[in-house]
This record gives sequence, structure tokens and C-alpha cells, in this order.
Amino acid sequence: MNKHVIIALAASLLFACEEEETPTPKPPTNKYQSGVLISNEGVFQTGTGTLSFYNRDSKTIANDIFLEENGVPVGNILQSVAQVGNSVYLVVNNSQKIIVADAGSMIQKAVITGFQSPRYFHAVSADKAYVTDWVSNTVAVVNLKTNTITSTIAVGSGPENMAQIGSSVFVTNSGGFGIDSTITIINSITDEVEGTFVVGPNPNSIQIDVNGSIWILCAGISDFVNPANDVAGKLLQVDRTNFTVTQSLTFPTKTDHPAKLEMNEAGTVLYYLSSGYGGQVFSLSISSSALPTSAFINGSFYALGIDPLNDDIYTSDPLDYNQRGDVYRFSKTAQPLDTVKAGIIPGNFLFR
Amino acid sequence: MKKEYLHTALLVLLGVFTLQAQQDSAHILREVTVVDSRFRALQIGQFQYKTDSIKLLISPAASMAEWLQNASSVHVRQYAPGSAASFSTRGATSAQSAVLWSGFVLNSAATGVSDLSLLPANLFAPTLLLGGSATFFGSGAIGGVLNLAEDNQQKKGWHGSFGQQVASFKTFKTSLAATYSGLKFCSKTTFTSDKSANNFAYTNLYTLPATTEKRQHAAYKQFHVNQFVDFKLNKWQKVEAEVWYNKAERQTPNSILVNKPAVALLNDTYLRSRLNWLFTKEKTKINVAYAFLYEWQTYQDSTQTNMYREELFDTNITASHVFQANQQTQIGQYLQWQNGLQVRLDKVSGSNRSGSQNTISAQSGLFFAKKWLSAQAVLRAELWNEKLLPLSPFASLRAEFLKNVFASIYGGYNYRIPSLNDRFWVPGGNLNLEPESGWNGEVAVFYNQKTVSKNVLIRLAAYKNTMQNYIQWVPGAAGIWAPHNVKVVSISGIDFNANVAQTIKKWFFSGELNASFNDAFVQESSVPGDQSQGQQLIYQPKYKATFGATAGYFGWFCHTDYLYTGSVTTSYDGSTQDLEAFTVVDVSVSKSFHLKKTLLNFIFAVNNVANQGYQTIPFFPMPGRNFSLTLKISI
Repeated sequence: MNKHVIIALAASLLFACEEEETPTPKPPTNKYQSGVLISNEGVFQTGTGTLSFYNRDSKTIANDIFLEENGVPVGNILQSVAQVGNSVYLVVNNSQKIIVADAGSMIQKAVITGFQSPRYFHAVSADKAYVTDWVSNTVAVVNLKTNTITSTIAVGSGPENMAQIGSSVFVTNSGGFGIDSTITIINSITDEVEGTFVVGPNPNSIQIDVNGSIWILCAGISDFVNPANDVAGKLLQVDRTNFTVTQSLTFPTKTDHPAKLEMNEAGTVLYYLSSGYGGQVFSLSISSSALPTSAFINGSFYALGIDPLNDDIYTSDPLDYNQRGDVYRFSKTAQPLDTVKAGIIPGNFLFR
Repeated sequence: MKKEYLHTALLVLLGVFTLQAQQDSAHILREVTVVDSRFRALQIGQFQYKTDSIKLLISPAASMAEWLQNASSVHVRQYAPGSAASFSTRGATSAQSAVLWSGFVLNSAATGVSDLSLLPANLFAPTLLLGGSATFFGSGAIGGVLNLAEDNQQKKGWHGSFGQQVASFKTFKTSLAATYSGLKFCSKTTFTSDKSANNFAYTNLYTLPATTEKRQHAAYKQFHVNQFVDFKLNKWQKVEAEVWYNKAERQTPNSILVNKPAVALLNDTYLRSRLNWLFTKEKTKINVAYAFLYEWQTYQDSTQTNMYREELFDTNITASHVFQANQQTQIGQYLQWQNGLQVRLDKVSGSNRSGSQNTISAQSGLFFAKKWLSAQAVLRAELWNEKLLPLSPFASLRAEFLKNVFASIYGGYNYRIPSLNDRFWVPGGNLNLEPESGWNGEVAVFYNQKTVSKNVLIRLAAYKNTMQNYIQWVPGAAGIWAPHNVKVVSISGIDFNANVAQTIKKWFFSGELNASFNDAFVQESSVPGDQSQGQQLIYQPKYKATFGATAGYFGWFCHTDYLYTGSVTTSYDGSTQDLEAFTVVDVSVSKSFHLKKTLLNFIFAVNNVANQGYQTIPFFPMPGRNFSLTLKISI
């Protein structure tokens, strides 16, 4: 090897670098305006969540749409997604932020920070939303005009899903690091706690039916070391006027820990998963006085959603939680419609 | 902390006092350490990537993670320099790649893996053996074996050395060594310490717009003290003893996608000791050894909870007792008969786990060596908790069919018993797991020429490895994850290695090129709906290449290392989270000179010269361009 070759090689090693490209902003589009958004959590700790878009008309799915449109990943654990006006809100749990993006183009508009462990987003008006913060045991009040947290409201342990009747917002306190059996009521005008009422252990999801009754699904208690100490979950019907439990349906075995209570658009049929990890879909009428004994849809599901457009049932199977999961669609009569591949751990749906 | 320093001081004093006590004043160069005979024999048919003495001279403070990064067919992944690092060889996992310390498997019985960041390269003469060799070393030696052994020779009399490196990000590495070699007694005392703020800058490409940030919560400090002694009892017998103590305190950084401040802390304490009795008489060698391996680890993270919904404070305490007896007898001029026996007891306790296991294994083999032809055949049997595992045979052949041109072939059966965490973790531990196992083989041709002034080795090898009962943690009812034997894995690949070293008058040149292609994919899976079939295994690059070149003149050395690692998938179906391919170039200049009887080395190094942003675990950046200055004094 002569000296010129050596010098050239050394120079190429020392100064080799890639030219930086200047990103060109994409023009806004409306291609994601109507359809189903699927929040995929992504691999825990070392992964990023992703956002998928299911087109009802073409029955096709587009994955990683946020990355595609913005050139950056969503962040660690995309927990849920919500929409207010023409903005979607991506709640990124472990990244402690909410990304605000244009609902039609998915172009990022803003980032709301200051959370510890944001889980679910609930708009109480066009310019105000509540966000449950699982670790801090608070609900953050977010100004949607300025995209900032204006205050926090102390609630129970591990706040999760919310529902609203008039100016009362009901927060399920799922237990967090311990056990909680309460629902916190927040006045959405004053942003103050109006009161709490007791339900079963570790309530995780809530629905309001057509008659105004409050339905609350409690997971029960899991003792991973000794399942003999488990406490079975409960489905409770609560009177909206005095918050007393009018019906309590206890699941048959101690190790039943249901999750993901959903409701059809008419508010007459409830759906839930028999387990938060690999559960089957069960269904019951709001007039039922007993829990169903057989599954409405057999499978091993992690997510559940009901499309208000036609009551189609969306479920997901995350397989081994380290590869793209399947989203299964069923008609309201449990007939299989189609299956698409979403991102890693599809966890929640937003129907638009 | 005071206790640890006291412990360290006692270990050092042990060596010093022992030296004072020994009366022998003869000055004879002698072999002080047993190189595991099983390892030496394995040169037939298998490739050993050895420490380049020049490279170790140039970067005397490198960790094993840094050293292995430039080895062939090896992939190292780590969260940051100094943080937990694991390696995989030829498509095998970290748990399927064994680390040996003077013949004893160091892989944690609890986790199945070894942390490369806690293995300083300068304590030993590391050697990497490529390919399956469970027949010789037992469970876990499927993809390859990293062997840590003492230098097999020391200079007569007293010697000492001191090394100090100052590097970017407030990194300080110190080494101290004192050796004595006499007719009846040898000793080597080594101390190293390594600490760093590790607050390197990186470009966060995941924010809009991209920002330059400093790595947070990645600081670490650790030290090692090692005392080795060797007594010659008489003409035929000697005893070796070694104690190795290591303590590390490390912050664990967050993924840069996680905005919350990292708080996790990882503390490790290791105590390893061994005692060997060696007997050599005429045509027979016997080595009887005992080792005690102890590890104590805690992982604390107040932002996470355990299954009891308490703040995460995980403790792992593992103790292993290993007894070995090896014998080799020369039969005639060309044939050698080797036998080995090992009894091992592992016990783990701490958070979420409590259990033990025992293994008893025996091996026997014949070794044939003639000038142009070498061959061996070995068989191993192992009882795992009183259950007989399938017999593990190994056979190899090497022939010189043209002058300096060789061909070799080997085949063997390999296995890995599940780790104690796999079996006893609460919840989810699976006592019904079967060992991973499969056949492994390689064919190679190579050219090897050695003269006084020149050394050339060019080798091309093709290998194939299959593994049944591949263990993977999969979710079960109520979200409880559990390990199961779910996959069949097929791995095949090609290794190319070329080493050239030449001395021309007062000039010295050396070059080294390693390139590998590794096709490691899932052949079958019992996970319903699994899309990983046909996909490359996670964290296994298909392509890797390294290049190193050194030029020396009158004590000056100029060295460069080039590393290319191909893209890596981190999801089982290969769909997302690919780590992009990256190249890293390091350069260094060193000068050695004598000041009377003292040898001085100054080394200046620039690492990652092109300031390449790269990651080996998604969203855990590695440092850009950084510098180090090292002084080493040897007397």
C-alpha cells in the first residue's frame, strides 16, 4: 500500500460524514380526518408507541402515521388518543407528555408537558380537558387554547378512565400502587372535587347508559404470589342521583379480573373483557340482572372498542407484546369482519 | 463503603505479605498459570480471536465491552458506556454465549448472562472462541466462549505497573499491578478503578426540532482487586489460588423518549475465588480445582413498582460452588486422552426468586496431533438436577493439505439449561422448562504463515447452528409472563478473518479485517399467530465488519479501528424499531520509551472520530467524538 493510499484512507476515515438534509415541511392534508385511530403502546422501556389509522371504506390500515408525517416517533408508551375539534391528543404515558396534532394531517402542533404518568384524556369543553395522571394520583386540568396545565386536582390512587354527566366528571381510581375502591366526582366548572363514592376494589372503567345509570367495572385484587388471596372483580350499577349501588354483579371466580368496559352507541348494551390481558369479549344488556356465562366473542384480547357509527366491535391481540399486534373487527352480532395488523401492543381506539 | 475498602486493602496485603514470606531468590522465568487444557485443545477446528497485544497496549483501560465490539461475529449491546452490557456470538443470545474464568463459567446462574462492563480487559488475556462448545464447557457455550485467563508467563523477579487514563465526560481509569515470579512462588496483585460522569452530549433526533442534550443519570464507578498466587510444592505439584473482588455502583439512564428524570440505581458486588492443585508427571497431567462464585445485585427504581405494588427494589444473591477435576494422559507419540468431571451447585435468593440447582457432568475425549493432521473426539454427559441430559458429542478434524494451507471441520451438540430466574421467578417461573439444545458445525479453510518477521492468517469459515426449545418469556393469563420453550431457531453464516503483521527493519505494520454474515432466524414457533417465523432474531445484525491497522516506528505507534455494524431489528416480527447501521472509527497515537529500567507509554486516542450518532439499544444513545490520554509506567 503506497503512502497516497494510506493518506487517502486516513482522510476518508477522519472526515467522512453525511450531509445534513434540511427537512421540507409537508403540506397539511385531510387524509386522516375520518376513520379509526389506534394507539399502539410499543415495547415497554426500550420502544416507542405508534399511531395507526384504519380506513373504514377501504378496510385498510396505515401504521406509524405519526412517524410518517412528522419524522419523529411518538414516544414511550402511547397510552390513548382523543380528539377535540380539529386536534387529536396523543397521550404518551412514559414520555410524560401529550402531543397535539392536526386531526386531518397528523402534523404535530404542540406538546403539553408537566405530567408524571398521563393515561386518559377527557374533554369537558371545547377549551378544557382533564387528564388522569396515574402516578401522581391527580387529574390535570389542561387549557386547550394554550396547551398548558393550569391546575391539578387530587383524586384517589391510580386514576384511569373518566365519564361525565352534566358538570360532574367521574374518575375511576384504579388503585395505583395499592388498592382503591372509590370514584371521585369533579365539578367541571369549578375544577373542584364534589365528593367520592365507594364501589368495588380497583375500578378501571366507567360508562353511562341510556337511562343515565353509571356502570363501573372493578378489576378486583390480584395477588401474583398467592392467587388464593385474589378478590374477584365486580360490575356495578350506580344511581346517578345519590351514587348508591343499585346492582352489584360479582364475577364467579377469585381470579376473574375484568377490564375495558365499553357501551354501544344507543347506551343499551355493555361489553367488557374478562381479563385485562388476553380476555374474551362478554356482552350484556343494561336490563340484565346477571353476568353472562358464555363469551360473546372468543379470543385472547387486550383492547376493546365499539364504533359509534355502526356498533362494530374492535379488539386487539398483542401476541407476544414484541411484534405487531392484530386488530380484529366483528359486527355487533359477533360476526368476524376482518383482521388487520396494527403496531406493537394495540391498546385503545378512537372512532371518528 | 468502608467495609469494601477494608476488604480491598486486606486482599492487597495478602499478596504483599505472601511475597515477603517467600524465601526463594532464584530468578527463573516460568509458567505461572494453567491455561485450560480444554481450551487449548479446541484450537482444532474452531477459531480463536485472541487479544492483540498492541491493541491492549494502546487502550490499556478498555472494558471487555469495548474489546469485544471489534471482534468477529460478536454483537455488543449496552445502554451507555459502563452500563449493563451483554454480548451475543454467531446469532446466539447473551445467555447462549459463555464467559469463562480460568475454566469456570461466570455467567450468572440467576440471569444466565455476564455483564461485560464489569470485566476489565486489562486484568486478563481475553480470548474469544467462536462456535458451539458445550461438550467442553457445559451449559451455555452455544454461540461462543469468552475466556478470561491470566497471562501465562511473567517476567522473573519483581515488577510493577501503574496506568492512568483521563478521558472525556470526566472519565478516570486507574490500574495498579505488582508481580513477582520466582522458582517456587509467583504472585500478581492487580487493582483497577473506573469512574465516569458519563454526561456525554448527543443529538436527540426524536424531538421537533432536533436538540442537543446531555446524557443524564449514566454515571458509574467500579473497582476490581485481583490477587493471584502460585506455589510450587515440589517437582510435580503446584497450587494456584486467586481471589477477584469487584464492586460497582451505576446509575441507569432512561430511554431518551422518556422525559421523566431517571432515578434507577444498579449496584453489583462480585466475589470470585478459586483454588487449583496441579500435578504433572511424565505423560500425565491432573488439575483439581474448586471455585466459589458469589454475586450480589440490587436494582432500585422508585418510579416503578413490583408485583406487590411497592417501590421497586430488586435483590439478587447468587452463590455457586464448582468442583472440577481434569486429567490428560499422553498415549504414544500422537495421541492424548483427556477426561473431566465437574460438580456444580447454584443457589439464588432475593426478591421474587428462591431456588437452587445442581449439575454433575463428565467428559472424555481423544486428541490426535500430527504435524499435518489433528483430530479430536469428545463426549459429555450431564446430570441436571438428577435428570440425564442428552449426550453431547463433539468431533473435529484439521489438515494441512498444501503448505501453510489448512482445512478444518467440526460438529457438536450444544445445550443450555434454563437460568434460575427462568425457573424460579415469582410469578411466572416455569419449572417444566426444557434445556435449549441443537447441533452446530463449521467448515473452514485458512492460510497461516509464521516467520520471524511476518505473521499471516487468512481464514474463511461457514457455520450452521440449530436450536430447539428456544426459551422466550410470553404473556399468559392475568398478564403474568412466563418462560416457555416456544421456538426452533436456525443460524447460519460466514466469517472472514485476515491478520497480517510484518516487521521491516525498525518499522512494524499490522492489519486485521473481520467480516461476518449471520442469518439467524426463527424456523418454527408455537406462539399462536406469531409472525416471527422467517424473521431475523432480535439484536442480531446480519452484517458486521471490523478493520484495524497499526504502524509502529521506534516506539511510536499509530492505530486505527473501524467498526461497521449492520441494521438490527428489535421486534420479533422485524416490523419496527430497527436500529440503523452505523460505523465508528477510532484512532490513537502512542509512544513508548525506556527511562533506565522503567518503561513509559503515552497514549492519546480519539474515539468515534466522525462523531457518528449510534445506538445499540433503541433510544439509548452512545457517545459521539471523545478523547482520552493514558500514561502507563512499567518497572
